Amino acid sequence: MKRSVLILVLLSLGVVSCNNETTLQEFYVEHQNDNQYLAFDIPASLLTGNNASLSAEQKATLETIKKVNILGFPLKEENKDIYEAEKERLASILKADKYKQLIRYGGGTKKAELYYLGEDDAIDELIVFGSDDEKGFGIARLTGNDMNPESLIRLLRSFEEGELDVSGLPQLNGFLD
Amino acid sequence: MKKLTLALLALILPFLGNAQNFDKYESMKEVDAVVVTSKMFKLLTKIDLNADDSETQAYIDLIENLKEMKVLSTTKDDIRKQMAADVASYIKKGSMEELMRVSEDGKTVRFYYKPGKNDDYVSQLFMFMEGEEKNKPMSVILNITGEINLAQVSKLANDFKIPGGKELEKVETN
Repeated sequence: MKRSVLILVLLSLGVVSCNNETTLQEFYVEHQNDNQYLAFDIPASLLTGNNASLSAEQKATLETIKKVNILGFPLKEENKDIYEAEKERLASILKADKYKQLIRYGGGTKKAELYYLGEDDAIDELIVFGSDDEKGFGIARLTGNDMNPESLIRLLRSFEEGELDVSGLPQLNGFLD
Repeated sequence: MKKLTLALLALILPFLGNAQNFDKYESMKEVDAVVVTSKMFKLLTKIDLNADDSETQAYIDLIENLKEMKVLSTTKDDIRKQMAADVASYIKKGSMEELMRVSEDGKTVRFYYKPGKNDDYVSQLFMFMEGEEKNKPMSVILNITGEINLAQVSKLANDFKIPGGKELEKVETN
């Protein structure tokens, strides 16, 4: 009787400590030179071009964004097992409480999850984890310093309206294909 | 030993029973699933900050107290049947009360709720729609939990353009 309780406690402790073990950052560092993976680390300054026309507020928001890094795992015939295992590992890393899940989507072979790190008025990291069981998975992180969600959205809107110059982006698209 | 297992099971089962019903659909290939968490709602309140008027404030109050919104939709016949059966047994078991029923354009939309802290609020709003969307037979489950002000809930339809989302506009309060 007592023993089983002890085992239960130990097991649950094990689960908890496992979750704390690896962070996304560690996973990224571990795999950025892995030849199964594609890794991009792009400073925000490289993504944007001439933004002289932006308002001071927009510029200030842009300053809070540090970089974008992307880790992609293209699925091939021979790496299917690794794909499953690695996808599983990422999913369990993201289960930690500090990764706050905002939204998740699943349909067909595709899945996408959106997370953030930090406080709801000062975001440190925005994380998109997407997978397609026919193509592979990828994780993109937008890191920054106390990014304010409201100004971030406003900046994105200005991007839609073509005010924000992201001339660095097309090159990146070429990379991913 | 056996007693302990039983006791544990008894503890866990209610949670499983509640969630398990529709969780299985989330991982099905044939089902499109969207889940919006309370953190997202909290974040949204930070974004929609132009709360000068009481209307917006009421909307923010609604969003702030939402726990989760889940939408499951499918166009596959066998899954639709399974959904309909699961919904029927869920409604029976879950002490849900019918809020309203709408039939139009070959669609049947049913709303159920669980009572909340007072008459204006419900703790769960559950919608099941069977019908057609873009000429395809489709079933949609929409489940919202939290502290839900029914007078405000129709406004969610504008912010979440999801299957069945616009049916929310039909929710009326008397």
